[in-house]
Amino acid sequence: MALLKSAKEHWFSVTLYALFSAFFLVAGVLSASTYVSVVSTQNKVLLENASFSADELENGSVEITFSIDLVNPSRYDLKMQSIVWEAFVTNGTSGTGWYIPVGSAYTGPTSYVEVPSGDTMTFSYSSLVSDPETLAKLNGLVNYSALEGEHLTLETLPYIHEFYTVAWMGDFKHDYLREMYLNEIVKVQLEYSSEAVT
Amino acid sequence: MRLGREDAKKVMAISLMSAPPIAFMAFDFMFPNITTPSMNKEMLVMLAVSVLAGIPSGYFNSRVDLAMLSVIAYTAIGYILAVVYYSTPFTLYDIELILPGFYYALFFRFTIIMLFIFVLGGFMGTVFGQLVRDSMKKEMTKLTFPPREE
Repeated sequence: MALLKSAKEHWFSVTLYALFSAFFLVAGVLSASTYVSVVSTQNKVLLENASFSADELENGSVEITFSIDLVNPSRYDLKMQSIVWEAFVTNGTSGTGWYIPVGSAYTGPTSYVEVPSGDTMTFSYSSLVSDPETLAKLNGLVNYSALEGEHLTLETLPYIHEFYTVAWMGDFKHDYLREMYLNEIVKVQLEYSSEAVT
Repeated sequence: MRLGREDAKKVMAISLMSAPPIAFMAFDFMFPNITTPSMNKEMLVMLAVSVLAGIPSGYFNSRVDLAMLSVIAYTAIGYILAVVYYSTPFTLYDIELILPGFYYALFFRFTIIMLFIFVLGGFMGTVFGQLVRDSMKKEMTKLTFPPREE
């Protein structure tokens, strides 16, 4: 009771004190809520529906295609820092040149690609392999598979597709040089490899 | 130090009211890029807010020991509240992330030094609060009992 009486006596100071306290309480709860959203964004943003194919054209070239969806159900827009697609075949029989690239693409931050909040963006890529040197390597693999009894074709060779992307959430600051954890908390990093799937 | 029931109530009320600024500052020091509004790790601003948070404990407590106890109590409660803020997403999404090692690595290592600023600022605020209260009392006494004119 004495406390209430004292509060009534100093009503102006008590009101100021309550406002000061409430301001920081609201700021704290809001910030914790932002923190929950940021962490949940890292869990919610996904790469889905990856599809890829290889088609042999009449002139002997091979067309490699790849597409994948980036699903962003979070409340933040995703500003893409880098998007990388790479397609290749590995030739386990050769020491040097075991890696045969058949397609690649890179999109950097200056392209200003943005995946809006609650949206899904499809990334589609296509590459035409017509270089005789690469085709010779692929045909070499096809011929070798025939010797091994596998009978692969240019369309059924085990092409590996890798997709890697880094994005920043919303407009949060992310250029800290010393405190790297602050950059990490607002970063979304996703990767897909068809090798892990097949 | 004698602590009566009314004193304990007063200390508790001040502790609960002054804890939110401490909690916010500790959390903001950890994540200045996602908090609103952010102090951007400006130590002087943090000291100033600590002083402000300490003023009521001096203003409402005439006893210095109780005022100092209030400062220590609200700093402790505020820091616990900051740990709660920090834990929220991990309790919701991945309970395994709440490990003592993880807390030490990320939270306590960054914010432990803040406690000294909060307590120091709190004591400074307490002194200021008591000065304000005393001068106001003097002024009120003067108004109630004006000096006789010769």
